Amino acid sequence: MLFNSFEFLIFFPIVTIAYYLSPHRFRWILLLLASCVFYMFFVPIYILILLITILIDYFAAIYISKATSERRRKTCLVLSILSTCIVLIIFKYFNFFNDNIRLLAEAAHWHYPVNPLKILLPIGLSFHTFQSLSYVIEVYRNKQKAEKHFGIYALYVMFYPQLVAGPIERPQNMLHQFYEKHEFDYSNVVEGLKRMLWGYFKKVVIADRLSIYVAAINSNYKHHNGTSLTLAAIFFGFQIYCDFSAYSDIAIGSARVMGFKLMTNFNLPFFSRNVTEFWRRWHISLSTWFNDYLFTPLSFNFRYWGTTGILLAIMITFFTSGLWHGAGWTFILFGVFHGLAVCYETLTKKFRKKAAKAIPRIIYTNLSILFTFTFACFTWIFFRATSMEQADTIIKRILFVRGPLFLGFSNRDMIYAVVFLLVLLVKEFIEEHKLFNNFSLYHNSNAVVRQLTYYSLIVLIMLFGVFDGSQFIYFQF
Amino acid sequence: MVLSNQSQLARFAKKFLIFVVGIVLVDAIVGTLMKRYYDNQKGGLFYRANYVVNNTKADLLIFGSSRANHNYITTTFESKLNTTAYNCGRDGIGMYYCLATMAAVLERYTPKTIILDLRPGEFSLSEYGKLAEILPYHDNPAVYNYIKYDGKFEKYKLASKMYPYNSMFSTLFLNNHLAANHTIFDVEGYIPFTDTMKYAPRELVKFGPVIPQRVKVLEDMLQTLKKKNIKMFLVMSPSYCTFLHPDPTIVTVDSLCEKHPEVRFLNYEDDPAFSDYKLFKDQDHLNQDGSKKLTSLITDQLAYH
Repeated sequence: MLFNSFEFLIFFPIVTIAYYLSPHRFRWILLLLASCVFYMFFVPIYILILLITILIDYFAAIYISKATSERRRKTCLVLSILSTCIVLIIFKYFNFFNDNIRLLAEAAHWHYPVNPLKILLPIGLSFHTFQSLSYVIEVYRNKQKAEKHFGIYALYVMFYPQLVAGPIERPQNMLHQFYEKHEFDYSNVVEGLKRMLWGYFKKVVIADRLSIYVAAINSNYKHHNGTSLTLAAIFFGFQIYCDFSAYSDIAIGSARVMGFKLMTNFNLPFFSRNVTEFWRRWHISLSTWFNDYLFTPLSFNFRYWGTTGILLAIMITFFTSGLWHGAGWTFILFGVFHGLAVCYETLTKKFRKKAAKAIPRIIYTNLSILFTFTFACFTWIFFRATSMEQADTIIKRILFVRGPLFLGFSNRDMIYAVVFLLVLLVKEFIEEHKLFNNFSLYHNSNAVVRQLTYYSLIVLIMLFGVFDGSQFIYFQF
Repeated sequence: MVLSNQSQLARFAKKFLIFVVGIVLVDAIVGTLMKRYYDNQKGGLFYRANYVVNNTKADLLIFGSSRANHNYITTTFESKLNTTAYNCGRDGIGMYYCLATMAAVLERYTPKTIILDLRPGEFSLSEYGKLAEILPYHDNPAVYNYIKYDGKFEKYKLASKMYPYNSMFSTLFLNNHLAANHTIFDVEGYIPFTDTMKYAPRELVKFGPVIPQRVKVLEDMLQTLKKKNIKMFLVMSPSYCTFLHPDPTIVTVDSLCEKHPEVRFLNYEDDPAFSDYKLFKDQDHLNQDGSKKLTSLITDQLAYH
């Protein structure tokens, strides 16, 4: 089920009201059933894949917690990770690896008889696989007790607000919340609804409007000049941010309405002054996941290699992060570029500090922000491209083909996109710099201003939203 | 009820109810203002759509997408056939939009002849989201019947008075206040294309399977027209492309015409008379020279039948 679908508008209030009306001891059943319904709106049979992942990690964690020897615990952890990842590999990566092996075999004139699998990727597979993995690893590290209650554990993986596109939660933050009795709390409900409303605004008014231009340019990239392709690349940067952060806002908000607190996933990433900071502000639940479960163990293991070890750990982490996003060379290159940028920043940290002192702060900071944003938009060209050939053509045309700007099929799309993007940027600029005494229309101390803001947002959504039922970009992962 | 904090719930329920009432009021006020804004346009595409639904009186009407709008010269029909004609074609719309506006016109009066220009692959194309611009006429029962084809929840969304005017504000602003600069030059609805495309080899085009619902909707309209004794011509305008044969759209229209002998199908899709790229503005649209040629051929057919 999509958060921006009519079905969800019916589903959400029914589940929330039923949640508060149910006795506490039955609430987990209600949420689990609701989560199953939510998931089964896509491809119903795929719930069995989710069940397999849940079963593997549920029993693995219990075994790990009971195992007496370290060797057995480790063996069980490895087996659990491998078997969970096999599901991911079959559905997400098999065809990618198979195609590449076939290409190699063809180049070597070998017969390669393995055909590609004709299967759809289950929605959000990478998200719930990572959430499940984090649980087993935390149990292994003795930071989390193995969950005995199968239903609660299943709910931890399947909790509908964050089931298909995160935030990727940690067991320490979530599991105890399913045991806590959430009373109806006025401030939680209002805060949750406000967050959802802002999420909807970002999705249907900004992201989906920008996507019209981005799709028009990218679907015909061979015929557009560098000016239009540059604008499309910049727009895609804002589109993906508004789309994904909107999903996170709606997820966090809908959970908050029921009293659950999910982790923050975005923190004004376009004000990052370098790529390292960007990853502290962008998709925080994924970057902290990679930091906790991949980068930190790797850098610990490579510690004797000094800086080389750190750089190697960074590159492996970002390579994996790229591959996590999608089974394709474009995604891998997206990760590798970010890895290289973080390596560069690690190596030049001292030099950059000196440079920052030599240049007026306002100039250095703003140039850094601009450079980081440009870099992010450049790497998103690979992220958005359907093939390396497409990314290559787009970059070449951006660099070498000049011409007038294509304004889109309809001027109104461009006008709406730019106007509402400016609204977002002004809001975030005020938030980032805490201007005007942290002025916020949305959280204004004056109730009339607050109410007017809510009404205005709803009117803007109704009059300027794009209601084509488009999916969230990160669903494909 | 397991609610330990009844007072918080009561507080929320009260405020939420007031908020919902407020939303309904705001929706009604903004929706009414938008309707007024829509009805008072002085130029532009929406103004022309309004004119088609509410004011046309011509005996010959041409419906279709941009291909209809830019390919059919109304004055030629008028002079050669001694009739009145209006080109109701509109850029960026599909068959359901055409049929919905046609149904709205038929509620008002009965033209003598109707031409419906079909797009290549017409019966294979999805029209999801393309009916948004007919929503301001959802009060018209004839139009309302077609709105369901834009999604199963569309009729519920229409509970909002603002929703029919979604994404129209800037266009309505221009059409109301800057109409003098924004008026589109047209001759009885026909808007000529003066450019000529640059030479390019013809691209091979193929379409997916026919969607039976689209055929059924068109067939229903053909029956309505037959009852009203209106002559119907289905036309496939020329394209500067090569189509994979047999084209499922052409096969389907042929079989429709067999069932409805009163309907004529004029197929210029691959007509050798339009092999010269200089007759085209782009691969889908004729320029003024091409339109003259096509209109002349169709006029002869109309005169003959």
